[in-house]
Amino acid sequence: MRKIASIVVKDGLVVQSFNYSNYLPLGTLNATMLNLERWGVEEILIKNITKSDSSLDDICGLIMSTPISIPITYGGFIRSRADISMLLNAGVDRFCFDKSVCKYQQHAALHKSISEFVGRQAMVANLNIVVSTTDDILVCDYSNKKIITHFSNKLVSELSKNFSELILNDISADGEREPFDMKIIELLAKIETNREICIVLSGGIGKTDRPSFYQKHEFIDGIIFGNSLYRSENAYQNWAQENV
Amino acid sequence: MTRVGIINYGIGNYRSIFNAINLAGFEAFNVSNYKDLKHLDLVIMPGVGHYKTAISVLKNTELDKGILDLFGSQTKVIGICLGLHLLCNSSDEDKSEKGLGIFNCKIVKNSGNRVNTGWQKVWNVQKGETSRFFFNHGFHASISDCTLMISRFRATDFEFSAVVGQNNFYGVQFHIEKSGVNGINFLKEVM
Repeated sequence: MRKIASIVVKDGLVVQSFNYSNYLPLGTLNATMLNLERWGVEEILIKNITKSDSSLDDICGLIMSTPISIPITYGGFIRSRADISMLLNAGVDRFCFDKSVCKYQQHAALHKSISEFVGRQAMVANLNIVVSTTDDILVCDYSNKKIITHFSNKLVSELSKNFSELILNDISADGEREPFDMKIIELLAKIETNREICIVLSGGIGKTDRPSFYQKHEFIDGIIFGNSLYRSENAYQNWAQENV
Repeated sequence: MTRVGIINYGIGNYRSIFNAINLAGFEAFNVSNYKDLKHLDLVIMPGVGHYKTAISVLKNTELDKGILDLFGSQTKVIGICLGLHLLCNSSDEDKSEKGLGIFNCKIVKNSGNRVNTGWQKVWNVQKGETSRFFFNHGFHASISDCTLMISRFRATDFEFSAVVGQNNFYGVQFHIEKSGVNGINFLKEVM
Protein backbone atom coordinates (compact mmCIF):
# COMPACT_ATOMS: atom_id res chain seq x y z
CA MET A 1 0.00 0.00 0.00
CA ARG A 2 1.24 3.48 -0.87
CA LYS A 3 1.95 5.83 2.01
CA ILE A 4 1.87 9.50 1.09
CA ALA A 5 2.93 12.46 3.24
CA SER A 6 0.82 15.58 2.93
CA ILE A 7 2.24 19.08 3.42
CA VAL A 8 -0.08 22.08 3.80
CA VAL A 9 1.46 25.38 2.67
CA LYS A 10 0.03 28.75 3.62
CA ASP A 11 1.71 32.07 2.79
CA GLY A 12 4.96 30.30 1.90
CA LEU A 13 5.23 28.34 5.15
CA VAL A 14 4.37 24.76 6.01
CA VAL A 15 1.57 24.78 8.56
CA GLN A 16 -0.25 22.28 10.70
CA SER A 17 -3.89 22.79 9.87
CA PHE A 18 -6.66 22.40 12.40
CA ASN A 19 -9.74 21.82 10.27
CA TYR A 20 -8.43 24.49 7.88
CA SER A 21 -9.50 27.22 10.28
CA ASN A 22 -6.47 27.52 12.59
CA TYR A 23 -2.87 27.06 11.55
CA LEU A 24 0.37 26.39 13.38
CA PRO A 25 3.48 27.39 11.36
CA LEU A 26 6.00 24.54 11.20
CA GLY A 27 8.80 25.82 8.99
CA THR A 28 9.88 26.26 5.41
CA LEU A 29 8.76 24.07 2.52
CA ASN A 30 12.38 23.35 1.52
CA ALA A 31 13.37 22.08 4.96
CA THR A 32 10.18 20.04 5.34
CA MET A 33 10.59 18.32 1.96
CA LEU A 34 14.23 17.50 2.66
CA ASN A 35 13.32 16.18 6.12
CA LEU A 36 10.54 13.98 4.74
CA GLU A 37 12.88 12.43 2.18
CA ARG A 38 15.48 11.87 4.91
CA TRP A 39 12.84 10.18 7.08
CA GLY A 40 12.10 7.70 4.29
CA VAL A 41 8.83 9.16 2.99
CA GLU A 42 8.19 7.76 -0.51
CA GLU A 43 5.68 10.28 -1.93
CA ILE A 44 4.79 13.89 -1.08
CA LEU A 45 1.51 15.75 -1.64
CA ILE A 46 1.77 19.54 -1.37
CA LYS A 47 -1.51 21.34 -0.71
CA ASN A 48 -1.21 25.07 -1.32
CA ILE A 49 -3.99 27.01 0.45
CA THR A 50 -2.52 30.49 0.01
CA LYS A 51 -5.10 32.87 -1.41
CA SER A 52 -2.88 34.96 -3.64
CA ASP A 53 -2.31 35.24 -7.39
CA SER A 54 1.45 34.99 -6.94
CA SER A 55 1.37 31.94 -4.69
CA LEU A 56 1.89 29.51 -7.56
CA ASP A 57 5.03 31.38 -8.70
CA ASP A 58 6.31 31.46 -5.13
CA ILE A 59 5.72 27.76 -4.49
CA CYS A 60 7.30 26.78 -7.82
CA GLY A 61 10.41 28.70 -6.79
CA LEU A 62 10.52 26.84 -3.48
CA ILE A 63 10.04 23.40 -5.08
CA MET A 64 12.62 24.14 -7.77
CA SER A 65 15.24 25.03 -5.19
CA THR A 66 14.75 21.78 -3.24
CA PRO A 67 16.77 18.91 -4.72
CA ILE A 68 14.80 15.83 -3.71
CA SER A 69 14.28 12.67 -5.75
CA ILE A 70 10.91 11.38 -4.60
CA PRO A 71 7.56 11.98 -6.36
CA ILE A 72 5.73 15.26 -5.76
CA THR A 73 2.00 15.79 -6.29
CA TYR A 74 0.81 19.40 -6.11
CA GLY A 75 -2.68 20.75 -5.45
CA GLY A 76 -4.02 24.30 -5.24
CA PHE A 77 -5.04 27.07 -7.66
CA ILE A 78 -4.26 25.20 -10.89
CA ARG A 79 -6.22 27.06 -13.55
CA SER A 80 -4.55 26.36 -16.89
CA ARG A 81 -2.04 24.37 -18.91
CA ALA A 82 0.39 27.25 -18.38
CA ASP A 83 0.19 26.62 -14.62
CA ILE A 84 0.89 22.93 -15.26
CA SER A 85 3.95 23.77 -17.39
CA MET A 86 5.29 26.00 -14.64
CA LEU A 87 4.78 23.27 -12.01
CA LEU A 88 6.36 20.60 -14.23
CA ASN A 89 9.39 22.80 -14.76
CA ALA A 90 9.66 23.23 -11.01
CA GLY A 91 9.81 19.46 -10.43
CA VAL A 92 6.17 18.51 -9.79
CA ASP A 93 5.13 15.13 -11.24
CA ARG A 94 1.39 14.93 -10.65
CA PHE A 95 -1.42 17.44 -10.25
CA CYS A 96 -4.25 17.39 -7.74
CA PHE A 97 -7.57 19.13 -8.41
CA ASP A 98 -9.99 19.89 -5.61
CA LYS A 99 -12.53 22.69 -6.09
CA SER A 100 -12.89 22.16 -9.83
CA VAL A 101 -13.57 18.44 -9.22
CA CYS A 102 -16.61 19.31 -7.08
CA LYS A 103 -18.08 20.94 -10.17
CA TYR A 104 -16.44 18.61 -12.67
CA GLN A 105 -19.14 19.10 -15.33
CA GLN A 106 -18.35 22.83 -15.51
CA HIS A 107 -14.61 22.18 -15.62
CA ALA A 108 -14.57 19.09 -17.85
CA ALA A 109 -12.90 20.97 -20.72
CA LEU A 110 -10.03 22.15 -18.49
CA HIS A 111 -9.54 18.67 -17.01
CA LYS A 112 -9.58 17.07 -20.46
CA SER A 113 -7.16 19.63 -21.86
CA ILE A 114 -4.66 19.11 -19.04
CA SER A 115 -5.09 15.33 -19.11
CA GLU A 116 -4.27 15.30 -22.83
CA PHE A 117 -1.26 17.52 -22.15
CA VAL A 118 0.41 15.63 -19.30
CA GLY A 119 -1.31 12.25 -19.52
CA ARG A 120 -4.06 10.82 -17.32
CA GLN A 121 -1.48 9.17 -15.05
CA ALA A 122 -0.53 12.62 -13.77
CA MET A 123 -4.10 13.64 -12.90
CA VAL A 124 -5.37 13.32 -9.31
CA ALA A 125 -8.85 14.31 -8.09
CA ASN A 126 -9.66 15.14 -4.49
CA LEU A 127 -13.17 14.78 -3.06
CA ASN A 128 -14.06 15.92 0.45
CA ILE A 129 -16.52 13.46 1.91
CA VAL A 130 -18.59 12.80 4.98
CA VAL A 131 -21.00 10.05 6.06
CA SER A 132 -24.64 11.11 6.44
CA THR A 133 -26.94 10.00 9.24
CA THR A 134 -28.56 7.68 6.69
CA ASP A 135 -25.23 6.00 5.94
CA ASP A 136 -24.59 7.60 2.57
CA ILE A 137 -21.24 9.02 1.51
CA LEU A 138 -21.72 12.68 0.62
CA VAL A 139 -19.37 14.93 -1.32
CA CYS A 140 -18.95 18.39 0.25
CA ASP A 141 -17.39 21.72 -0.52
CA TYR A 142 -14.68 22.07 2.13
CA SER A 143 -14.93 25.85 2.41
CA ASN A 144 -18.59 26.03 3.37
CA LYS A 145 -19.27 22.33 4.19
CA LYS A 146 -22.17 22.45 1.75
CA ILE A 147 -23.30 19.07 0.39
CA ILE A 148 -22.76 18.89 -3.39
CA THR A 149 -23.72 15.39 -4.38
CA HIS A 150 -23.83 11.74 -3.35
CA PHE A 151 -20.70 9.68 -3.84
CA SER A 152 -21.53 7.05 -6.43
CA ASN A 153 -20.05 4.73 -8.99
CA LYS A 154 -21.41 7.02 -11.70
CA LEU A 155 -19.46 9.97 -10.26
CA VAL A 156 -16.28 7.87 -10.11
CA SER A 157 -16.79 6.72 -13.71
CA GLU A 158 -17.11 10.32 -14.88
CA LEU A 159 -13.95 11.35 -13.02
CA SER A 160 -12.00 8.35 -14.31
CA LYS A 161 -12.18 9.76 -17.85
CA ASN A 162 -9.59 12.40 -17.00
CA PHE A 163 -8.19 11.33 -13.63
CA SER A 164 -6.24 8.23 -12.65
CA GLU A 165 -6.42 8.68 -8.90
CA LEU A 166 -9.11 9.74 -6.45
CA ILE A 167 -8.32 11.04 -2.97
CA LEU A 168 -11.24 10.66 -0.57
CA ASN A 169 -10.73 13.10 2.27
CA ASP A 170 -12.84 12.51 5.40
CA ILE A 171 -13.59 16.09 6.47
CA SER A 172 -15.05 14.99 9.79
CA ALA A 173 -11.54 13.78 10.72
CA ASP A 174 -9.25 16.06 8.71
CA GLY A 175 -7.49 18.37 11.15
CA GLU A 176 -9.77 17.19 13.96
CA ARG A 177 -9.16 14.88 16.88
CA GLU A 178 -11.18 12.06 15.37
CA PRO A 179 -9.57 9.25 13.36
CA PHE A 180 -10.66 8.37 9.80
CA ASP A 181 -14.28 7.21 9.82
CA MET A 182 -14.14 3.44 9.27
CA LYS A 183 -17.77 3.58 8.22
CA ILE A 184 -16.56 5.12 4.94
CA ILE A 185 -14.52 2.02 4.20
CA GLU A 186 -17.48 -0.23 4.97
CA LEU A 187 -19.69 1.82 2.65
CA LEU A 188 -17.04 2.00 -0.09
CA ALA A 189 -16.71 -1.77 0.00
CA LYS A 190 -20.44 -2.01 -0.75
CA ILE A 191 -20.31 0.41 -3.69
CA GLU A 192 -19.19 -1.31 -6.85
CA THR A 193 -16.48 1.29 -7.41
CA ASN A 194 -15.04 1.78 -10.88
CA ARG A 195 -11.63 0.10 -10.84
CA GLU A 196 -10.16 2.34 -13.50
CA ILE A 197 -9.25 4.83 -10.80
CA CYS A 198 -6.97 4.35 -7.78
CA ILE A 199 -8.53 5.11 -4.39
CA VAL A 200 -6.45 6.91 -1.76
CA LEU A 201 -7.81 7.76 1.70
CA SER A 202 -7.04 10.92 3.65
CA GLY A 203 -8.10 12.63 6.89
CA GLY A 204 -7.23 11.39 10.36
CA ILE A 205 -5.32 8.42 8.97
CA GLY A 206 -2.40 8.68 11.37
CA LYS A 207 -4.72 8.79 14.38
CA THR A 208 -6.43 5.48 13.93
CA ASP A 209 -5.62 2.65 16.29
CA ARG A 210 -6.35 0.17 13.48
CA PRO A 211 -4.10 1.26 10.60
CA SER A 212 -3.66 -2.29 9.29
CA PHE A 213 -7.42 -2.24 8.62
CA TYR A 214 -6.76 -0.30 5.41
CA GLN A 215 -4.55 -3.03 4.00
CA LYS A 216 -7.29 -5.63 4.25
CA HIS A 217 -9.26 -3.86 1.55
CA GLU A 218 -7.77 -4.28 -1.91
CA PHE A 219 -9.71 -1.31 -3.33
CA ILE A 220 -7.63 1.02 -1.14
CA ASP A 221 -4.44 1.81 -3.04
CA GLY A 222 -2.91 4.30 -0.64
CA ILE A 223 -3.26 6.42 2.48
CA ILE A 224 -2.27 10.00 3.20
CA PHE A 225 -1.18 11.35 6.54
CA GLY A 226 -0.49 14.93 7.47
CA ASN A 227 -0.50 16.28 10.99
CA SER A 228 0.66 12.99 12.49
CA LEU A 229 3.94 13.45 10.61
CA TYR A 230 4.97 16.20 12.93
CA ARG A 231 4.38 14.57 16.30
CA SER A 232 8.06 13.72 16.49
CA GLU A 233 11.01 13.26 14.14
CA ASN A 234 10.53 9.49 14.16
CA ALA A 235 6.76 9.56 13.76
CA TYR A 236 6.83 8.50 10.12
CA GLN A 237 9.43 5.77 10.54
CA ASN A 238 7.59 4.29 13.51
CA TRP A 239 4.26 4.45 11.72
CA ALA A 240 5.68 2.94 8.51
CA GLN A 241 7.41 0.12 10.36
CA GLU A 242 4.22 -0.80 12.18
CA ASN A 243 2.23 -0.78 8.94
CA VAL A 244 4.39 -2.42 6.30
CA MET B 1 32.81 14.68 -15.71
CA THR B 2 29.99 12.71 -17.37
CA ARG B 3 28.01 15.00 -19.67
CA VAL B 4 24.27 14.28 -19.70
CA GLY B 5 21.83 15.88 -22.13
CA ILE B 6 18.16 16.09 -21.19
CA ILE B 7 15.71 16.26 -24.09
CA ASN B 8 13.41 19.22 -23.48
CA TYR B 9 10.04 18.56 -25.14
CA GLY B 10 8.65 21.63 -23.42
CA ILE B 11 6.32 19.36 -21.46
CA GLY B 12 8.54 16.85 -19.62
CA ASN B 13 9.66 16.96 -16.00
CA TYR B 14 12.98 18.52 -16.99
CA ARG B 15 13.77 19.90 -13.52
CA SER B 16 13.35 16.55 -11.74
CA ILE B 17 15.78 14.91 -14.18
CA PHE B 18 18.17 17.83 -13.81
CA ASN B 19 18.19 17.36 -10.00
CA ALA B 20 18.77 13.61 -10.30
CA ILE B 21 21.70 14.15 -12.71
CA ASN B 22 23.30 16.55 -10.28
CA LEU B 23 22.74 14.18 -7.35
CA ALA B 24 24.49 11.45 -9.36
CA GLY B 25 27.49 13.77 -9.73
CA PHE B 26 27.02 14.28 -13.49
CA GLU B 27 26.78 17.52 -15.45
CA ALA B 28 23.37 18.25 -17.02
CA PHE B 29 22.71 20.04 -20.33
CA ASN B 30 19.54 21.13 -22.06
CA VAL B 31 18.81 19.48 -25.43
CA SER B 32 16.26 21.39 -27.53
CA ASN B 33 17.45 20.53 -31.07
CA TYR B 34 19.64 17.95 -32.80
CA LYS B 35 22.76 20.16 -32.61
CA ASP B 36 22.65 19.94 -28.80
CA LEU B 37 23.12 16.15 -29.03
CA LYS B 38 26.86 16.42 -29.79
CA HIS B 39 29.63 15.59 -27.28
CA LEU B 40 27.34 13.96 -24.73
CA ASP B 41 28.01 10.74 -22.77
CA LEU B 42 24.34 10.15 -22.01
CA VAL B 43 21.05 11.44 -23.38
CA ILE B 44 17.88 11.22 -21.30
CA MET B 45 14.38 11.36 -22.75
CA PRO B 46 12.13 12.41 -19.80
CA GLY B 47 8.87 10.78 -18.95
CA VAL B 48 5.93 13.01 -18.09
CA GLY B 49 3.49 14.00 -20.82
CA HIS B 50 1.29 12.71 -23.60
CA TYR B 51 2.75 10.54 -26.40
CA LYS B 52 1.26 12.59 -29.24
CA THR B 53 2.57 15.93 -27.94
CA ALA B 54 6.07 14.57 -27.31
CA ILE B 55 6.46 12.76 -30.66
CA SER B 56 5.30 15.91 -32.48
CA VAL B 57 7.96 17.98 -30.69
CA LEU B 58 10.66 15.42 -31.58
CA LYS B 59 9.67 15.44 -35.25
CA ASN B 60 9.26 19.22 -35.49
CA THR B 61 12.71 19.85 -33.99
CA GLU B 62 14.32 16.96 -35.96
CA LEU B 63 15.42 15.53 -32.65
CA ASP B 64 13.95 12.23 -33.84
CA LYS B 65 16.66 11.95 -36.52
CA GLY B 66 19.37 13.10 -34.10
CA ILE B 67 18.36 10.44 -31.57
CA LEU B 68 18.27 7.70 -34.23
CA ASP B 69 21.79 8.74 -35.35
CA LEU B 70 23.04 7.92 -31.84
CA PHE B 71 22.22 4.23 -32.26
CA GLY B 72 25.46 2.23 -32.07
CA SER B 73 27.49 5.27 -30.97
CA GLN B 74 29.42 5.81 -27.72
CA THR B 75 26.57 7.98 -26.36
CA LYS B 76 24.10 6.07 -24.23
CA VAL B 77 20.42 6.93 -24.40
CA ILE B 78 17.82 6.32 -21.69
CA GLY B 79 14.11 6.82 -22.31
CA ILE B 80 12.15 7.19 -19.07
CA CYS B 81 8.46 6.15 -19.06
CA LEU B 82 7.08 8.26 -21.94
CA GLY B 83 10.67 8.39 -23.24
CA LEU B 84 10.63 4.58 -23.44
CA HIS B 85 7.30 4.68 -25.25
CA LEU B 86 8.71 7.12 -27.85
CA LEU B 87 11.57 4.69 -28.57
CA CYS B 88 9.21 1.78 -29.36
CA ASN B 89 7.38 1.06 -32.63
CA SER B 90 4.02 2.53 -31.65
CA SER B 91 1.78 3.35 -28.71
CA ASP B 92 -1.89 2.76 -27.99
CA GLU B 93 -1.92 6.27 -26.46
CA ASP B 94 -1.99 7.67 -30.00
CA LYS B 95 -2.08 5.21 -32.87
CA SER B 96 -1.73 7.90 -35.56
CA GLU B 97 1.94 8.61 -34.76
CA LYS B 98 4.68 5.98 -35.08
CA GLY B 99 7.49 5.81 -32.52
CA LEU B 100 11.22 5.86 -33.27
CA GLY B 101 11.32 2.06 -33.50
CA ILE B 102 14.57 1.45 -31.61
CA PHE B 103 12.88 -1.21 -29.50
CA ASN B 104 10.94 -3.73 -31.51
CA CYS B 105 7.88 -3.66 -29.28
CA LYS B 106 4.55 -1.93 -29.01
CA ILE B 107 3.22 0.13 -26.11
CA VAL B 108 -0.16 -1.10 -24.92
CA LYS B 109 -2.76 0.24 -22.50
CA ASN B 110 -2.73 -1.21 -18.99
CA SER B 111 -5.40 -3.80 -18.33
CA GLY B 112 -8.68 -2.21 -17.20
CA ASN B 113 -7.47 1.31 -18.14
CA ARG B 114 -5.81 1.40 -14.74
CA VAL B 115 -2.78 3.51 -13.98
CA ASN B 116 -0.03 1.69 -12.12
CA THR B 117 1.30 4.05 -9.45
CA GLY B 118 3.69 3.52 -6.56
CA TRP B 119 6.97 1.93 -5.54
CA GLN B 120 7.34 -1.60 -6.81
CA LYS B 121 9.90 -4.35 -6.99
CA VAL B 122 11.83 -4.76 -10.22
CA TRP B 123 13.56 -8.01 -11.07
CA ASN B 124 16.81 -7.93 -13.05
CA VAL B 125 16.54 -10.92 -15.41
CA GLN B 126 20.31 -11.23 -15.99
CA LYS B 127 21.54 -10.67 -12.44
CA GLY B 128 18.62 -12.22 -10.59
CA GLU B 129 18.44 -9.20 -8.25
CA THR B 130 15.51 -7.09 -7.14
CA SER B 131 15.28 -3.39 -6.35
CA ARG B 132 12.44 -0.92 -5.74
CA PHE B 133 11.55 1.96 -8.04
CA PHE B 134 8.67 4.44 -8.46
CA PHE B 135 6.17 3.77 -11.28
CA ASN B 136 3.37 5.96 -12.65
CA HIS B 137 2.06 4.79 -16.01
CA GLY B 138 -1.13 3.99 -17.87
CA PHE B 139 0.65 2.22 -20.76
CA HIS B 140 3.46 -0.33 -20.82
CA ALA B 141 5.76 -2.43 -22.99
CA SER B 142 4.97 -6.14 -22.96
CA ILE B 143 7.72 -8.67 -22.28
CA SER B 144 9.88 -9.07 -25.41
CA ASP B 145 13.39 -10.00 -26.54
CA CYS B 146 14.50 -6.50 -25.47
CA THR B 147 13.37 -7.01 -21.85
CA LEU B 148 16.16 -6.67 -19.28
CA MET B 149 14.12 -6.17 -16.12
CA ILE B 150 10.57 -7.16 -15.18
CA SER B 151 7.97 -5.80 -12.78
CA ARG B 152 4.36 -6.66 -11.98
CA PHE B 153 1.21 -4.56 -11.90
CA ARG B 154 0.11 -3.70 -8.40
CA ALA B 155 -3.54 -4.49 -9.13
CA THR B 156 -3.34 -7.60 -11.31
CA ASP B 157 0.14 -9.08 -10.69
CA PHE B 158 0.56 -9.24 -14.49
CA GLU B 159 4.21 -8.96 -15.67
CA PHE B 160 5.52 -6.21 -17.93
CA SER B 161 8.90 -4.85 -19.09
CA ALA B 162 10.41 -2.53 -16.48
CA VAL B 163 13.61 -2.05 -18.48
CA VAL B 164 14.31 -2.79 -22.13
CA GLY B 165 17.65 -2.51 -23.88
CA GLN B 166 19.06 -2.58 -27.39
CA ASN B 167 22.73 -1.81 -28.00
CA ASN B 168 23.46 1.60 -26.36
CA PHE B 169 19.74 2.42 -25.88
CA TYR B 170 17.74 1.72 -22.71
CA GLY B 171 14.10 2.28 -21.91
CA VAL B 172 12.84 2.28 -18.32
CA GLN B 173 9.18 2.23 -17.29
CA PHE B 174 9.85 3.47 -13.76
CA HIS B 175 10.99 6.97 -12.88
CA ILE B 176 14.73 6.97 -12.18
CA GLU B 177 14.54 10.61 -11.15
CA LYS B 178 11.85 9.88 -8.53
CA SER B 179 13.24 6.67 -7.10
CA GLY B 180 15.61 8.19 -4.54
CA VAL B 181 18.95 6.46 -4.01
CA ASN B 182 17.91 3.44 -6.11
CA GLY B 183 17.29 5.68 -9.11
CA ILE B 184 20.60 7.48 -8.73
CA ASN B 185 22.42 4.12 -8.42
CA PHE B 186 20.67 2.84 -11.55
CA LEU B 187 21.86 5.89 -13.46
CA LYS B 188 25.44 5.37 -12.27
CA GLU B 189 25.28 1.68 -13.19
CA VAL B 190 24.17 2.44 -16.75
CA MET B 191 27.18 4.74 -17.14
